[in-house]
Amino acid sequence: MRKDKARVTGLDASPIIHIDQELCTGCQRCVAICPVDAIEGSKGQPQTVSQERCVACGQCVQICSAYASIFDDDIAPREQKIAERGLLPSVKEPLFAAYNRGDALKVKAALTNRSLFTMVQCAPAVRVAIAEEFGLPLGSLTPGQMAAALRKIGFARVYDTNFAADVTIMEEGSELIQRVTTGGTLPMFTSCCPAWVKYVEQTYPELISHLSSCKSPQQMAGVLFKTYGAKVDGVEPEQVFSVSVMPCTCKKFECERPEMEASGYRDVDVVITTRELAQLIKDAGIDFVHLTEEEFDKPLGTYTGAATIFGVTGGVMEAALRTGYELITKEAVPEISMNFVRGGEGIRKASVKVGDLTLKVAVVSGLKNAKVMMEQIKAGKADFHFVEVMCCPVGCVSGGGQPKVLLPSDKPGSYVSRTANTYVHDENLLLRKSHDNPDVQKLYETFLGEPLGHESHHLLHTHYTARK
Amino acid sequence: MELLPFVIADKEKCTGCRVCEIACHSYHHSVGKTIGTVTRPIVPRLFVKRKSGGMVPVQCHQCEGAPCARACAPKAIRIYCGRIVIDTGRCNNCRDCIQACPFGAINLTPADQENPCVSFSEAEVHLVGNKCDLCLGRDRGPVCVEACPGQALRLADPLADKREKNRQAAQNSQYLYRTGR
Repeated sequence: MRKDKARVTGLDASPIIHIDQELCTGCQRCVAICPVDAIEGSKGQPQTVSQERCVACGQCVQICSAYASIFDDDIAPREQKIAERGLLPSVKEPLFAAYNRGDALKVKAALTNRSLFTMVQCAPAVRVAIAEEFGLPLGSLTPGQMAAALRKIGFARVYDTNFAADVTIMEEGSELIQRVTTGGTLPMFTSCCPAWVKYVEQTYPELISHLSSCKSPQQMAGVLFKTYGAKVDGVEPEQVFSVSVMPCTCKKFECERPEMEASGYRDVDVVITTRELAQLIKDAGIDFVHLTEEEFDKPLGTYTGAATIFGVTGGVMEAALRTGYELITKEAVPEISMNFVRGGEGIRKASVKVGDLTLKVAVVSGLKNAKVMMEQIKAGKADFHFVEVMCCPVGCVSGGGQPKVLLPSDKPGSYVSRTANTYVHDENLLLRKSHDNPDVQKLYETFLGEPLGHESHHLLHTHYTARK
Repeated sequence: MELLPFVIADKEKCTGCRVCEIACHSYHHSVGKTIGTVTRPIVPRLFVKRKSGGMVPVQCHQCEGAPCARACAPKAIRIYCGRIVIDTGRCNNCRDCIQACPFGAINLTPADQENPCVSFSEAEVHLVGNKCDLCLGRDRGPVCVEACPGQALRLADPLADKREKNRQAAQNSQYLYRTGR
């Protein structure tokens, strides 16, 4: 069997995005959707992924419709493919040519290892999609059932990426204000999308200084689990096994980046996708649909509406504005819901009056649109202070690790529903601004000090690697 | 005269993506909107195959003198609502229809749609004949035609096609016929 050449590597030399050479029919729908033209091959022949160019966004995995049919007589047995892909043997769904490396077995093993104290975080986009894998309508909002399921499969602490998203806003908002007031590098870009970060590193390394030095919420959560979180629970950091559930395949790459060990240990031990979590839940025989809703654990599971909108394009920007406005003017932002930064794929621009300052912001979704922005910056034509960039079409809710819609005609509707319910969740939460999160306030008071301070710098900020 | 319509593919446009097969399965089986809800193997009623120069789906031609219908001993196969359908209640899975069909358009599949099973090797499962029925019951017609990302499939109405070809031929040959000698 021919080996595929897909490789995106970090510490673990195991590639994340693969194309099964036996199943690929060469239809090239993946080629069309790849934002970095990383897929190569002739029409009608199996395609391969270029390791250097691939940013592991997983859009190819989402679009691939070439499946292993029971009528195909010249392909390896299903059991073999399941093992190769790192899937739980209990997985029943069809297998496709383009796929991501599976890591659910590592999570299952950790959950049965009594010497480990398992902490889990889920991205905001997971809670508006996971129920789809259990037959509920596209975009169903089920955070309570998600938390209950995580507890049932055995996690000691059901924390949340959204807590760390609130922390990210504190750090990134402060960083933006600092850059604006002290003549720092502008525009500043968000750095929470790891595919976008890798894209900058390999395509525009000369513009790396524009990236916020903030880690992504996933990585901030991971490092906090093994430091602050370990203290809270009175466990040794080396006992903590830190798991992250993401709508994203590139987050597997992010957690393996060599520098992501500020806690003294691997900050995030393993990342699984929304789909893999659904498979784990089914594997454990849990009836997700009929679970009673439960709360996330405190302190690292408390979150605001500002955090949960990180999952959609424009959400990070809106969250940053809700807090940034107040940090600068000392007054509450007049309108919490900011429709002018919301939308779909493309580039949206806005000018926001924040006290005496007119903050010029842009929201970009889709890496091809990011390229347009980067060229504008190089030409000196990008007059912005702050730019949010997301690789996936409408942000993380459309990520490579999300439930894969069967029919192409249902894809747009899935984006619309997941996005809409993300905003519904925000509107129904008591706290909607990151700086109002009491557990974030406590984190700073008792552990971090203040945003951009010494502890923050050490744990929550990072550096990037030119990859050209 | 009635010629039954059937789905045909434009082999220039087919890329072999197999969306048609997935769409076909999703209409005929109870699945949710996502892959994770599919617990049984995908069993389509059209089959994308490689041919020289490309890929093309093969499916039932809704033959008027259907060999499958003539071969069927329990008379489970007949014309119904403008298509050849298999009455799975009468099917005794004798496989004569499968042997008779020159296109390989018929397969055997488990009759019980609710029972999850991963492969056909499970001997206890009751199998019945299964073939393209032009998505009987679907107002918008065959789902494969709608779902194809490259619009490579269409529901061909042989009589309408014939009339169109006659018309085109008459148009194009206007100088062939002269008046007088």
